[in-house]
Amino acid sequence: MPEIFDSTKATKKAKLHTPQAPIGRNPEGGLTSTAEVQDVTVVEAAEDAKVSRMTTEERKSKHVDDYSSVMRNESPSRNPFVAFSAKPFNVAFDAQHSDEQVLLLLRQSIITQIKFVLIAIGLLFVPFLFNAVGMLDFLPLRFQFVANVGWYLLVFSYVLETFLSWFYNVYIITDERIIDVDFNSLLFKNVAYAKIDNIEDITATTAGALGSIFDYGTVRIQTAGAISEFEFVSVPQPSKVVSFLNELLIEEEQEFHNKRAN
Amino acid sequence: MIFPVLTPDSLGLLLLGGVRILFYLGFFFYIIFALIALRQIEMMRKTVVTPFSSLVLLIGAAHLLLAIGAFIFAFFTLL
Repeated sequence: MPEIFDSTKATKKAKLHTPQAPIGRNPEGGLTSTAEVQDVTVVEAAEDAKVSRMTTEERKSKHVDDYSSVMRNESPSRNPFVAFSAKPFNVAFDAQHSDEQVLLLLRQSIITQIKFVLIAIGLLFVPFLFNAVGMLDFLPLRFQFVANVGWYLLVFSYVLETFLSWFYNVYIITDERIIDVDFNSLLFKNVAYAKIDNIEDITATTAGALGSIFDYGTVRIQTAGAISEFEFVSVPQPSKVVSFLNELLIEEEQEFHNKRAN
Repeated sequence: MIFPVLTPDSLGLLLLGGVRILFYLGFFFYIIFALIALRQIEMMRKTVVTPFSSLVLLIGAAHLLLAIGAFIFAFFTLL
């Protein structure tokens, strides 16, 4: 099970994995083993491992607030129904790495769902309309009643499907990747992943009166991977999302340079 | 060969029988739909884990029970 985000653990984890004393050396710094040549190889490998481990630890010991001004201004989100959930608690996904943290979870803005709410309310009144015009009068009363029960079941299923589609079609940004989870229908699932350092271009588009008033829009991310474009459709605060992705990119670049310097 | 004589009453009964079968079929297919929905909910909650996931599964199970209940209700009401 992947580890879920807990901001308090970020620094503790780094402390737990503090590098031990180099393998194969005695306190005086000399080699201890009898087979000296073999040991030199082991020690070199251990040193290499130490360098790469240090780099990972350095990154993991860094809390997202340390390098992201966007996240610094956001408090951790505990509400599972928000469309812009920064540093969400108890959120994970199936292909999450053990040391990967979910930093931002996005859904379509709640404003985009208002049309579905209005449709559902409209559908609730259809049986009354049918009764008013006497459309089912050719059926006995018990048949009419069962027809109404069936109709309300269909309305319930419409509401359930619309809600599930909104709730689980999410865009996730972790400290390593961006993930686009799509459930287009009951039988269609598509999950796309891209590493942060594969991002090439990011654009945010806010269109329409509602988008401008309620500050939501589409973020397009061009990547160098197999899937060339990711589209975060109608997400809240698109400019903030772009800023955060830029900060993550800068952080990834710095890590890359640190690795090379080491 | 003797053909049954169709009176307005017998025609009405025949039509009602047809409508009854349509209702039964409709509610039966709804149960299948509810089963698929439950399966989908399970897949969704495995893909994205949130604190609300367990409640979503409960809603899906309640939906399936509702569908079965509606089928039974329709069956006995239309008998």
